[in-house]
Amino acid sequence: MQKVLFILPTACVGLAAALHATAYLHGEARRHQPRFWTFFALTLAAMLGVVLSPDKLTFLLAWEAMGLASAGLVAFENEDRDARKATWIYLLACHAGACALMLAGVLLNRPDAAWGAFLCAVVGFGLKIGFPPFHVWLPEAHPAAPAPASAVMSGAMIPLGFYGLWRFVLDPQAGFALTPGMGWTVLLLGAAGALGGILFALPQTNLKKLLAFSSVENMGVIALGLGLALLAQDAPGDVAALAGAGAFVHVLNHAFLKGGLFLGAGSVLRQTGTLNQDQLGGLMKRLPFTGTLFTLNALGLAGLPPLNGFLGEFLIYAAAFRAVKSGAPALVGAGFLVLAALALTGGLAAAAYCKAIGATFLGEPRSEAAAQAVETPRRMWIAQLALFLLSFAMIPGTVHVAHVLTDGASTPLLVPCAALGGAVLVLVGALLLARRLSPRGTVKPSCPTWDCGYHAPTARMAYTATAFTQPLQDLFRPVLHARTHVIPFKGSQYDASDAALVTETDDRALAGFWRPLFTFVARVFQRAHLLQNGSLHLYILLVLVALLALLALAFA
Amino acid sequence: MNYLYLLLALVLAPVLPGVVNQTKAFFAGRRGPGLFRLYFDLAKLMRKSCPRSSTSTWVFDLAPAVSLAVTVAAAALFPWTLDATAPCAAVGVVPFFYLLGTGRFFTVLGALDTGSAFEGMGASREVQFSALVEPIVFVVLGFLVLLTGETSFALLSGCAAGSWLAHPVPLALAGLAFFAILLSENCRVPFDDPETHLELTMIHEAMILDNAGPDLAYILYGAALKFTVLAAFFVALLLPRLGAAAAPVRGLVLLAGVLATGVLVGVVESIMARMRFLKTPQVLLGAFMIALLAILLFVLF
Repeated sequence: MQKVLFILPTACVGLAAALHATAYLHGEARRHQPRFWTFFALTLAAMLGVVLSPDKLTFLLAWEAMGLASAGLVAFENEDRDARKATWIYLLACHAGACALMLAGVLLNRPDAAWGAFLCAVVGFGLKIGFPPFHVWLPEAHPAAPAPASAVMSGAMIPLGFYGLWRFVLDPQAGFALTPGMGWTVLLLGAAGALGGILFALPQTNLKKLLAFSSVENMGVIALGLGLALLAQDAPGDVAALAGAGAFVHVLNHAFLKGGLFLGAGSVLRQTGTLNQDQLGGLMKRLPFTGTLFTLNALGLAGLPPLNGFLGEFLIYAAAFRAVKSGAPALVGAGFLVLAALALTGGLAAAAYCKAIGATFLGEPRSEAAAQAVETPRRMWIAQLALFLLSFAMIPGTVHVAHVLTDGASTPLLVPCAALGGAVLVLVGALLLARRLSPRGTVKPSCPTWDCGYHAPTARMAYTATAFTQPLQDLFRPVLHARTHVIPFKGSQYDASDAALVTETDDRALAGFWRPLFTFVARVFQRAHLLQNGSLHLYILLVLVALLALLALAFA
Repeated sequence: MNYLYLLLALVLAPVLPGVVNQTKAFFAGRRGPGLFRLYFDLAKLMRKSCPRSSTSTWVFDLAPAVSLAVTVAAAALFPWTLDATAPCAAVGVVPFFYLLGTGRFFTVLGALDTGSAFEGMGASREVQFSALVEPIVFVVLGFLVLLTGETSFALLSGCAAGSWLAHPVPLALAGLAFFAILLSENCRVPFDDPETHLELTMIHEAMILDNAGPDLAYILYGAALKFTVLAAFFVALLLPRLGAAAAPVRGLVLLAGVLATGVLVGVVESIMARMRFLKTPQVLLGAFMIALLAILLFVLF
């Protein structure tokens, strides 16, 4: 069952991304295209290999192949400095993860090292999933890779980390003894990932970077469900079943929705040449299919009913309520943590996606490139449409999968919810009809936007992406550490058109944790440079000392 | 029976803003626009046309209808006779609050679709405050689960037994936190002032500057309905058990409570000024702390 459910997103997102890529790469020189397709096919093959591998050794080989092949995709636009840097970070993350996983594989066979094996697995797979602070590669690699590659990597590849976690430690058949502390570890990582991911997604002006941080958030939501399921595994009632099913269906829902969103972002980049939301706007009129599908996918991923993204989160909420109800102190605490974290994440995700849609697709275009944009070739939005239809099919799909996973406990919750979605659609139709039938109800665009009597509104007056999230960004300043640059007037003080305000929010894990760590490591190894100073005499002396030491050791 | 009262609530929803306004008029020594003003406004708006900004797209076109539809759907989930065995009530409170979230999402998108500076401003404030309200809502709900041991709508103390006798202080605190939610979600003073005439200080009103005719009617009616539904939730949270009473009596008491909540909101609006925007997050954090305090008191004592 699990294998099928992890192959499904890989195959579907992979196919849709391939269709999208045929048009996306159209502008690329012909000689570059084989490179993309080679790595793309290798990545998909390695991903299928990961899921289908019969034992841990083949799993690790396929896992490593998956990392290497996808690094080729990240490096596709290698003339770009950011892409080279992103590839480097991604390769580091892949190899550090592989090291941890090999260690985990060794430690798994030792019954006295359960915690060590668990932590190694969490670090190894967390580097792929994007648990904080191991998520650093996501916001670098996703914007750098071509959009179809980002879609596959974000939608289908990073959740494979959960599959790995399941194969190594969570699967009951793996025979690994899980303790409550391990459940708490996953839960807290999930809470940090969900909140941190969405907080950093919020102020991003680069659309793909926003989506990448939102992947960190969604993986956090999945980990919240998983952690709750682990904590409740021995508790009576259906907390564990509901939370586990919620986490699981969210993997599927996220795959289709996020895949579709990345494809949409790729279409925007191809048609306008930029991903900076402050430079976009008004694309809904120019790219109607792309914009509409992006909006629907974002609505789903913000976890709002009646679309499918809500159903997975609903199951986790239901599990958290039942955990609180159970009365066991640990479960009550975990339940409240899940409730508060998931609710704040949901609210902030709605804000982030409102901003992404509003700044990119609505209003008036803020740059010439956006104003001149035209709809993509049909293939590109058909790929998006395919993923949206799949996510729509996931509404009954979620009901069914959750029914199987929870032995029917979820059905009384989800079926009315899905039915309610249908009722909402009927109601919307009825209201639109009522408006149409009202005496003067035919609607036609007739006037400029009302801006309080000012009759010539320009795009510069509209709220930008940066402005939209400024209040929340200020509120969370202690976490975000946003940097603000004011570009002052250059010409006349009466003409402000050359003044600007730029806000950047960099990933804190990179600047605050990894960079100092690597600087420190580099400094330590600088010391070792003393031994490598190019003097042959020193080397001969070292060899001699080593030989003598070995001899002494042998005879002692 | 439940659906009969749902219908009654749908019909009576426009009275609630009237109650608030009459209360405020009483405090200000005015005659007031009358309890049923909104009905006349709605009837007038339905006869008007919908001029549409040439910037806007289908999002703006659809937003009012979707917002109203999801609010009606949320109202349909609520147990209007406090009978937790009603078919919809078993689904629980999560879809109820998330449906209201969908409505807000579309209102915000509709506002951004006009490209207006003021509507962007209102939308930006709306998502900020609502994001901060969400955790308070769910912590209060968690508290109610803890208190009543129910996860469906039966968690409302109106449905559960003896909560007030056993835990008066935590329940009162939870009620206070939910009252803050009620005011913030319905754009009332001190979070937002529905009567302000300055676009710069508006939140909800700023988002609908470009709507007119039937669209505006949908928005106004949707706002009144959302107010009614959340007020009903507030009343049902605080009502002691009415179990012995018959379903019609429970439903009537609930609706009377909703109107009383309207008076309470009117009093609050009359005696209190609206807060500075920068203070609002602090107040919401305070409400969150009150909810946590309710849980702590419940767990410890």
